Amino acid sequence: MNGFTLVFATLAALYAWGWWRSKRLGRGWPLWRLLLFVGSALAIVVVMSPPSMHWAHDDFRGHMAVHLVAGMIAPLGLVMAAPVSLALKSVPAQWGRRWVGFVSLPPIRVLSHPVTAALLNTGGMMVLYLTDLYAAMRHSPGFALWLHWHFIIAGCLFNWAIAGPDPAPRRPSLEWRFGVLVLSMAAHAMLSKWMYRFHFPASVPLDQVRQGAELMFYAGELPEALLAYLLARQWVRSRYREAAAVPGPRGSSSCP
Amino acid sequence: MSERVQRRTGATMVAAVLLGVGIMAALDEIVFHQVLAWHHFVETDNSALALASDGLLHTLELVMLVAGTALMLRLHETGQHAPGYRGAGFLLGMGGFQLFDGIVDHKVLGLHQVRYVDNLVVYDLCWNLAGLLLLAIGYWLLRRARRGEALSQQ
Repeated sequence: MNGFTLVFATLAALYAWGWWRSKRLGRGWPLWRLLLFVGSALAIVVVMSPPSMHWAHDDFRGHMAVHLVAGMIAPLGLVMAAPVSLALKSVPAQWGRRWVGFVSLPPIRVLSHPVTAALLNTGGMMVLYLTDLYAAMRHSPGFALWLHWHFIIAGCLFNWAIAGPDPAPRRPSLEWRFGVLVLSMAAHAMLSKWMYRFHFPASVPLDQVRQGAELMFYAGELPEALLAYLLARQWVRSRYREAAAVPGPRGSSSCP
Repeated sequence: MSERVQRRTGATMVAAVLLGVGIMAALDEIVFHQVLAWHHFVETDNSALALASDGLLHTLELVMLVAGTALMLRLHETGQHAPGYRGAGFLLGMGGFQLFDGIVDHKVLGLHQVRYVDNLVVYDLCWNLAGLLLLAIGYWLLRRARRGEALSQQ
């Protein structure tokens, strides 16, 4: 059993326990969120298993597929399952205040700012692929392990900072978050086209780079588009209120 | 009963134009890039700057599609959509994208050509005329909607 299995199986078990407890106490928590969280944790366990890791080590397309699941798709699922909200429902109320105090700490606010999260996430990829770091990673198992953790955590941080449903005081405005998301998506698209055209990382055979870059461009678009949709939905919901359209009994509510 | 709901013409137009641009861009990508393969993921003479602008434009198209979908759905959920303006905005968005792609992407930025053949000018002409035609129909629909003559306003 590796560290990824241990951590993500534990988190999934905790989430399932919280879901069950919430249901038993009659407070309820959506089943789709449980399935989303467990499915995402399972996806990380699968792509970080030895056979998949060997494929990722030997073949750039494998590396890209693993990155796609562990760094983009699974983090989106983990964050959208709102694990902190579930945890706060399951613990005494003062923990909620502690959580708010924790995420209000200046270093945490800087770290969870969309710009920081985007730099760690997409910026980290640029450094990895456009420099010799990728070749160095293939020869250092310890560094490779650290990078995998980096991309999982940075992916979660990014999704959380952009459109996370968990409570966080004083988030940057929706406009800010939307702007950062668009720039980050554009940087991702540019990077994959540069890799294809100018052969980065140079240590990998060209045909693997090209197929990996195309995979990065097209498949990477799905979780990005989903994240953009979720954020756009939050935005239009806050701007166009439901109340005006509900055809209640005549005269029972006033029109703004 | 519909008097209680405020119709939002501007927001409906924005959503429809975003959807038009996004759908036309997706059609372009699917039909001409992937199915017909008239041009490729990256052309060999593309510069780093051209590819950067390509990446940015591609992202903006995708975001327009997504944002347009979210906004249009919300306007329908709340009953605030303005009938008559949806088709007009959609066609104006489609035509606008087609013309922008034909002039800026193909000619100014030189990202790729419509097709790599000798009589390219015929292809360019068809491409841009198709854009103008869509814009003209969109404008005609918009005028009808402004006069309250659109089918969905009856």
